[in-house]
Amino acid sequence: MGNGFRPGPAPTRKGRRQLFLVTLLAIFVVLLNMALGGKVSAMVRDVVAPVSDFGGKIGTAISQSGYFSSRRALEAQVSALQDEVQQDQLQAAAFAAVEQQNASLSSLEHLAQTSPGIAAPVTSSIVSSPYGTFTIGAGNADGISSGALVLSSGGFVIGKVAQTQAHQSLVDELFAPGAQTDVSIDGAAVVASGQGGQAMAQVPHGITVTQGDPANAPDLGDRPIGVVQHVDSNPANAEQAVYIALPVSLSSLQFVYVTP
Amino acid sequence: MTWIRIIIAVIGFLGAIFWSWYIPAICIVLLALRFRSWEAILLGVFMDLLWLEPGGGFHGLPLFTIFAIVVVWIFEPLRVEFLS
Repeated sequence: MGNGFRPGPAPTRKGRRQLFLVTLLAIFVVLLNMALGGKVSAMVRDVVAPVSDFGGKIGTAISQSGYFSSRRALEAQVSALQDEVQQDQLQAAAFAAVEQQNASLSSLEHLAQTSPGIAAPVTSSIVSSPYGTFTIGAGNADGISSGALVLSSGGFVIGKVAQTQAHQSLVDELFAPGAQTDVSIDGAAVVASGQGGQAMAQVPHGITVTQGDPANAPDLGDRPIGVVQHVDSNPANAEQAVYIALPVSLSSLQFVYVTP
Repeated sequence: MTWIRIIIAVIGFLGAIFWSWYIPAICIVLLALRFRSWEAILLGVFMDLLWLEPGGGFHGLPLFTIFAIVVVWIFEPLRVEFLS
């Protein structure tokens, strides 16, 4: 009868020793990265950035060449229909958010005009990260520092700059899995827990929350972080579950606005 | 078989950069199932170095590195028994 832990032939033992050494190396690299505050990962991102950029250009060139035109046409059609549905559902919500934002900021318009900021390209895939992070093509050489807010063109806060390099920064999405953000929805101060692409907040039943209501984050300059997409108001539960989403698809973003 | 191993590893590394995170995860499992694959562990480390914010979500735990190490070693008896 075989036993997985019996002493194997020499190549097996050698391979296992090799695997063990790689395991130790992996643990060492991860611990070293933690001890150095992410400097190893910054170096890796610096190396990968040109590859990512080059790959993105190749993808664009192939897409524009029409080689996959039929597939592309179908994808475009599906995407257009999905966008139409999404726009119908969320356009009013976005307007409400903007209206409220405009009302509250109109008196501070002169400050908003003078608030420093920089537009930065999104340099990585939004969906690749399991941790809800992505990179932008601007760093501390461009005046960006950790903690800076990253906004969509509509003014919604997408995330915060988590780590900066010279010309690249890692952004932590507000809706990353496990991320928690204090928000205000219809006057109720609640905590929105990121679920990857959306967030969920528990709101007491006494407060009326409807689809399309904006969710603002007082800690982030009272900027909107999304709109209410769905309310699960099951009376059997003590609180109603409110799902918050951005009115735009993160994957469609090419540029973001970074402000301290 | 070596070329299959190389192709899976390359797909995993490309997936880590360009595609969704579950493609590297699948590649790690496939590599670990069939091969005594040190590159699966490197792929896990690569994912974490690329995407993990130090001290960020999940308490900064390098989930992909942990996943790769666990998967590679948990399949070791299986590989020895059936595939060696």
